[in-house]
Amino acid sequence: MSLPKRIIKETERLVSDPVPGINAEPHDDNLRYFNVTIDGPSSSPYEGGKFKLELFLPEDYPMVAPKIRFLTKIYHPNIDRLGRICLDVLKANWSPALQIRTILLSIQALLGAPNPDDPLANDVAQAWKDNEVEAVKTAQAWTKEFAV
Amino acid sequence: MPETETYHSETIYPVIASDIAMQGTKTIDSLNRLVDYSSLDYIDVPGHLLCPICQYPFVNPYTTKCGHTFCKECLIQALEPNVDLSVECRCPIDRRPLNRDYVEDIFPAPKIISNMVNDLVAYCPNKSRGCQFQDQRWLLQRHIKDVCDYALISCGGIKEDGSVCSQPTHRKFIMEERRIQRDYLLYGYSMLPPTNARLMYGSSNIHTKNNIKDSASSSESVETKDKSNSLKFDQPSKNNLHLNAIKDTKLYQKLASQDDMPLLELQEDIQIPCVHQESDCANGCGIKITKATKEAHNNIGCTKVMLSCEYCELQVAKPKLNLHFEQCPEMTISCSAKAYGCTWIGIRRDLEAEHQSKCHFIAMVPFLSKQDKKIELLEKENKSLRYHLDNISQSLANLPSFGNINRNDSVSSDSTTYSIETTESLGALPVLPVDLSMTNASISHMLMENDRLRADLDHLTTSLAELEMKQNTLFMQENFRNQEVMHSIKGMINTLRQQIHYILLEHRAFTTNSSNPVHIINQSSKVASTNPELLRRRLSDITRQDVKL
Ligand SMILES: [Zn+2]
Ligand SMILES: [Zn+2]
Ligand SMILES: [Zn+2]
Ligand SMILES: [Zn+2]
Ligand SMILES: [Zn+2]
Ligand SMILES: [Zn+2]
Ligand SMILES: [Zn+2]
Repeated sequence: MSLPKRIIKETERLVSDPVPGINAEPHDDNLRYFNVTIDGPSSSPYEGGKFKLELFLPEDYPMVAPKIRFLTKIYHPNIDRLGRICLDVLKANWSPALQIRTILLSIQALLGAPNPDDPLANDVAQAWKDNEVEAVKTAQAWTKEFAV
Repeated sequence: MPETETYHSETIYPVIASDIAMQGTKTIDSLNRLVDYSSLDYIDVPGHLLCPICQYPFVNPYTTKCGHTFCKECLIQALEPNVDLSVECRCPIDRRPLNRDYVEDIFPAPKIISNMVNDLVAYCPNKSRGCQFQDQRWLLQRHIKDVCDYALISCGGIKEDGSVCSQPTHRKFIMEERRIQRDYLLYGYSMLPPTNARLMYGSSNIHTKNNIKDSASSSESVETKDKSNSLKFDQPSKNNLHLNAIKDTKLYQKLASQDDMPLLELQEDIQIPCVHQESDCANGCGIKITKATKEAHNNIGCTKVMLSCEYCELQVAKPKLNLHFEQCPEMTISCSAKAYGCTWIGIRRDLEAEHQSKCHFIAMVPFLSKQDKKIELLEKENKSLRYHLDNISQSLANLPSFGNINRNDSVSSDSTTYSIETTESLGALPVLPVDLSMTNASISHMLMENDRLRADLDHLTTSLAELEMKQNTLFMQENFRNQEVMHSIKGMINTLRQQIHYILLEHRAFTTNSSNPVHIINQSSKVASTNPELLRRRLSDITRQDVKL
């Protein structure tokens, strides 16, 4: 099965014209599998962290969303302990007009603005709601421990 | 431009550009099948003409009722209803609901859009085979069908056994052959012009005629390697047979009478020998070639084509040139220890004569390369260890949430293969005993499972307590409400009692005081006139209470 031209084009652009703070490289032996690094946005609890993610483009991409998850441990109300991300555009709100680039930008934005009202990691979201200051501190500590 | 309109017609089938035998393809419909617009190499495309889904210039653009344009194919795919119809189909750009089956929802884009995309310039799809042609994409179909030298068309030549060959080959080989045959039919010999002259055939016609006189001298002046040479040797015999066979036919007469007939009209009628027939290389290298492979053979494969080395001027066979470059004494090279830091540059002879004995870097090479190998080995080892570690930590991360036994199995089998691999490749590496790692994994699995169950239990207990509390409040609320209703009923009963009391009093007064019937009527009407008001007030009280409830 050959690689659709759109994937080749997206990959070329990701490499030649990268988004600031985001690095995505395809695997040598599987061009549908990407190693992604996202820098924690400044003035967020994840500042200074480098978060590794894996991204996989399923057979039906772009008709279905890419599969993406965090590999680096992260304390975030919308990311569970397996690294799965609760983001509407990755699920029901996926549109084939979206691209790898836009998805990675959304994830970067999610790091900058955690949304405990739409949680995936329930305990983290609860902690976030109960005591945001404490939760932010934990997130910073985790960033230091796992993502630096 | 009416022709444009025809070319911009409805469906374009995704067929690989020119790999179709094209004999007899003359209708516009089949022309449309020749070029797959979605795989062209476009030159300079404005962003507005790119489909948001496939990111390529629109193919058969369709517009939605919300005003967005996509390729028809892409849009239809994006709006494919999912199996249980649970998710509404929406516009990929603004998410407005769309139904692909409604003509008012999606419809062909305005003609100007398709004209604009069809006017985009792209390379000929046969670029990879060597065609440099570029034109507006709707014109490429024409190019491939009629002109492109690198389009695959079926040979159609007569094989040695007399049958017609149907193998595909590049158009240029067929065209060359046809030109040769035509010249033979007309003049009895061929002066094959260089490849592209076919396009200017009309003028070269006269040119060829003039050359008949001094044909001997001109064919001698052509270089020995050239194609005309091989013609002289391997063409005439077969051709003369062919010519004799054809000489009396109507075609020959037609050709002979119409010298200036455009080549394109003649092509289809001229019979040619199959271009796939093998013959010996004219240079005498002993390799069998066909007319189709001759050019490539002469350029890279023929051992008899000699080239002189650009450094030492030695005559070297083409395929051996690269080999020669590895040892040519006059070639400029850098020191063999360049990778380790030597900056010396000079010709190879000097390297061997003087530099080699002086260079400190070269002396270090054996040691340094050993180090390199060691580093490489360590890196490999490190990589596999990291992989192993990743696997373990991943399995740990996965276990508590899913209790996925299969996962665990695959991980431990991974680690098994891994340890075998390491013993093989890395020799004395300490290796985790497989059994131990498996028990460890299962123990940790059990622990995780335990944790998970405990967490679940906690969760259940809290939710049970929550539920109980909710139930209690509900119950209390219900209770309050009932009490209030009871109060209001009590109030009503009280008023009723008062009224009965009043009526009883009246009745008593009536029986004791008088027996006058008029008075009775007056009295009772008095009661009737006072009571409604009282009643109304009571009633409104009650309704107010009802509202409150
Ligand atoms: Zn498209
Ligand atoms: Zn729309
Ligand atoms: Zn071409
Ligand atoms: Zn043939
Ligand atoms: Zn040869
Ligand atoms: Zn040489
Ligand atoms: Zn040196």
